[in-house]
Amino acid sequence: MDKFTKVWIILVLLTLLSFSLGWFKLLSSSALALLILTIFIKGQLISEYFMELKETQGIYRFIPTIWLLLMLTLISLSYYIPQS
Amino acid sequence: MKTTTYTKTPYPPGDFGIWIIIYIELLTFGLFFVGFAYSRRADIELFNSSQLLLDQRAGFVNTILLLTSSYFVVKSVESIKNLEIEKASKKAKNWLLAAMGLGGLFLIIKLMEFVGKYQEGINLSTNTFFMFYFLLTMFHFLHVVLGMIILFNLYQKTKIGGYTATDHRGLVTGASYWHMVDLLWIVLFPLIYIMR
Repeated sequence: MDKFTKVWIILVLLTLLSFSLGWFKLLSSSALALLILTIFIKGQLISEYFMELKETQGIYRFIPTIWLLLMLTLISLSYYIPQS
Repeated sequence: MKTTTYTKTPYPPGDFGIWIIIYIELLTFGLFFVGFAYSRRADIELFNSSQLLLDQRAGFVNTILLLTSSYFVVKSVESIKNLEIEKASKKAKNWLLAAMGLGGLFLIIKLMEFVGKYQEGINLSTNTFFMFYFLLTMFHFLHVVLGMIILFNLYQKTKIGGYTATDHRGLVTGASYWHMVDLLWIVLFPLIYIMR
């Protein structure tokens, strides 16, 4: 099995996991963190392998990673910080 | 012992212009995503109750369709890179055709969702949640449509043997755009359909 097929299988399994968390109403605060982590992992797999940025050096490789980290951190804060 | 040396390239694969577009698109959608998350804080009850009106199964199926379509495009590029020209073009065009088929299914399912919401009397001005839902998903929908047009052009060129193992820059450029459409959806789906 080639590496791209393995990546695709992981992507499908992670999607199944995130869908199940919502469908079976399992979204506790820790499950929400897990869901956000699956988004980051999926994003990294797509940019590194499907977009082939793994073969690129420097900032151009890491822009999607920085984008994911920054965006998911801000989104997480909005869900976790209690309302005043 | 055989050793393989990997040389990293200074620029991403394909035309650099597409990467400028990709980075700008990521920034634009990113602002919308964060905007959605912070608007939710103003009325969490409204966002949670509105979210229950969405069909998570449709979103899930659409995610699998886009991921698989992206994977097929990767297989198409790999065919061109690794196989002999005649065999490569035939395989690559078939992978692209399959990728377009899944992209088309995504569009049909999304259209059915839009029509369903319209028939329920839900639209852009229903509330803040649905304003974001329609803006984000319709904006993304248009990107899928453009991606399909790009894939069709790649398919046409692949069919006549226009890409080879040493010259496939155009194919990789179009493929990168399609993967970006996928990347945006894998954030959009959990954020809008699942997170609460």
